[in-house]
Amino acid sequence: MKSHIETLLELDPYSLSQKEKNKIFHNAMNESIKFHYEKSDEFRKICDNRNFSPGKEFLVQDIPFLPVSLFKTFQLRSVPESEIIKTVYSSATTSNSPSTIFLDQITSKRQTKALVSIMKDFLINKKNFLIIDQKSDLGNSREVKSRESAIRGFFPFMESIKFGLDSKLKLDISQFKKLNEKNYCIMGFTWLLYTIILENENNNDVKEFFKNIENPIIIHIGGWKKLSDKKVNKEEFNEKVSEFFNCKKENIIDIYGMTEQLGTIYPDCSEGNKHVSTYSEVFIRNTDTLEIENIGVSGFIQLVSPIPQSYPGISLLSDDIGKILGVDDCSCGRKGKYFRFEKRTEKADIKGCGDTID
Amino acid sequence: MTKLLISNGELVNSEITSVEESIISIKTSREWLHAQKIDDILDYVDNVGKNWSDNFQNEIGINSSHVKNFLSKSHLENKLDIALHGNRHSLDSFVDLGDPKLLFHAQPRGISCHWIAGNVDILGIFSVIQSLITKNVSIIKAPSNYNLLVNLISSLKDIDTEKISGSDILKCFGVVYINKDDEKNQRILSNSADIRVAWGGHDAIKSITALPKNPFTEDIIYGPKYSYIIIDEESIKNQMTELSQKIALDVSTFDQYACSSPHTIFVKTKDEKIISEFSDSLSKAMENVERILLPKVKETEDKSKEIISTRSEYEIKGKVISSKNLSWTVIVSNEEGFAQPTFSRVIHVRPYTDNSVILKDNKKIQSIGIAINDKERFDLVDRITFFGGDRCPPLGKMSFFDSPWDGMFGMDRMVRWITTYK
Repeated sequence: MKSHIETLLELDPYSLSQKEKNKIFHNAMNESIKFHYEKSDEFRKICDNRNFSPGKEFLVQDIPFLPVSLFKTFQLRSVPESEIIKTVYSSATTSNSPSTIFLDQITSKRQTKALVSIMKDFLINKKNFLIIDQKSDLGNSREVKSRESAIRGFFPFMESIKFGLDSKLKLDISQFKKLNEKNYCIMGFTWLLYTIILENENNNDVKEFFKNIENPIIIHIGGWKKLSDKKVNKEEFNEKVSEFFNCKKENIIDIYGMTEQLGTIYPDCSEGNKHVSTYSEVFIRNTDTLEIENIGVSGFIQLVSPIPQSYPGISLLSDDIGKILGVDDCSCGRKGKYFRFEKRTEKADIKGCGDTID
Repeated sequence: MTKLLISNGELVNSEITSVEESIISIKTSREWLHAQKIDDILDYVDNVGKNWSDNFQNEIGINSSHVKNFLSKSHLENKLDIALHGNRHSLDSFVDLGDPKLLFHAQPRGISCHWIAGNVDILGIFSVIQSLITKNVSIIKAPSNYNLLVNLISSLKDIDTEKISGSDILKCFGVVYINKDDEKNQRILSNSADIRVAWGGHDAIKSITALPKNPFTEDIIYGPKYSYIIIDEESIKNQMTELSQKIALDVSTFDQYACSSPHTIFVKTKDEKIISEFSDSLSKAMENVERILLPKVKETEDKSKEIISTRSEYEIKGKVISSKNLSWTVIVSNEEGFAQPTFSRVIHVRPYTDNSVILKDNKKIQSIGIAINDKERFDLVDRITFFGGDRCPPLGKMSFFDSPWDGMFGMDRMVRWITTYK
């Protein structure tokens, strides 16, 4: 008999209503949580401390969440070390230490399956990919940075792949001369894409290249932390991208996701909303009471998914603030919850006198 | 944006480009204040304490009765006598302090500038009062949440005694708000100070002390410091509920943002059951204090995130007892040494071990709350404070300002000692 998690992954990402999804998703989470409770000492301790028993009836929202910071301080694994095939490190934008995520074969396969199913809904055909990044080793290294890992995830959608930056992260114009006119997807990390645009917005040679490319799709990932610091908002970003790459704004897809839960990504739909697929669930929690917030109210974004098997990252409390906008009724036609990312939590200024201890 | 809030005996509240005028203005009150008798000033301050306690009880909160007690005439007479080598009247004239040949007179240094931290604004008031009773005029650099401070200082105008008029006293105070990016005015303020009193955390103190100053300016630095508690098994057995309530108050006052707020409780016992029972009792007390006495103010999102992270980390390393929301957290673990402070009512309970970092040089320690059998207390305190620690108050009173504070008699530092022959 197929596991509930595998059954869940067979389903279409956005065709089930929230009500239809709930039961199937609960079954998958039930299976996942029992596994991690048994295999991960750390996860079991957290469950026990919060009086959560996987043997008893529970709601998905009751599953104890792990703050993403925990992956910076602990090496969390739910399978023996010998089964780990890849270790992914986050980019550590908000602290000096990166998250460390251990992947086994099962988790890696599930992540790829979920990502492909989700992106198929947005990229119908394979595309020629122009990656606005330096060429990196995308082979089978056991240690992977999150940027490389994100690019790898899009392999199934790549007809061809070119890298647009040199080793100093400057635009490599020689790569552009080989571009043909049609079927392009330009992909990059949000802050890097913006930096490159600023550096080259008066470079007519480059802009001329993009004029000849027919309506490309732009995919950008990696979060808004660095751009928020520069007070650049999404509208401003989209304006610049649309002008520089000569594309329609509705073809700019901002993908939200995190290294600690690879695979279950949240691309923008044509309405600018992020949709929760069948393979995961999103809750918004009040930043003070930690209670679940209603539609339209901002709070911490909590991400739940049964996909991780090699590490107990099945219920994560992110550092991000967002809000649910609705359920089953987005004009784009996708079912399920949809939400908006608002900001990464700011570092607080005020410190107490006790901030002196080393 | 820089604002003049109080100057020349009046509430102003207007934007200014330079604080220079308020400094010139305050200098004119120096001689008047010098001419007042210390006992008359103490009479006046006694009235201030009563007035603030009656009229600002809610705003001052849990420290309200302490403010009244600290500012009472008999208390300040005693504190001044101790700080000024036995005789507060040295502020009025030359007095005999026991030297066979010399007489002594304490002259005010001049202008005292106070950088008051937003997290402990009421503590800052104590340095302002100490300046007044050592006959120094004061310019207060207020924090961004300055309403309470401005209301307290401006209320001085309405307090009169037989010998002293409130409007004259208010002319001895200037209150300004200087934006942290306004380096020009921060420099003017610092350069004009005869005494710089700085309250705050590491970053605040670092930036204040980096400002230029006159070589003869006296610096009185309150912070950054770390505080903790030591209790023994006997105290827990005899008075667990009472001790828990007192500690809960110490942790919850100022939401743990004061230098005197404890972050770690070391329990002297080999019995884990004692630690467990005490932690449960403390958790109940934390809940009660939050519910009845000191409701928690909403924290920033970043602080909430930090509390959640700390809780999860110690759910793995130890045991966490907490409110359902983020109001308070009691963390029990076997880790040694001082817990990294999270602030915001996160308190660590750890076993006391003799080889812990307590017995290593650490000048950053301020208050060590103590509940230890008296037979052992003085020896233990002597051994510990050799390495660090400025005061060992009883539990429940850790954040009550006292003299000395941070290891120094502030009032002594605010005067120049003049001698003449007998």
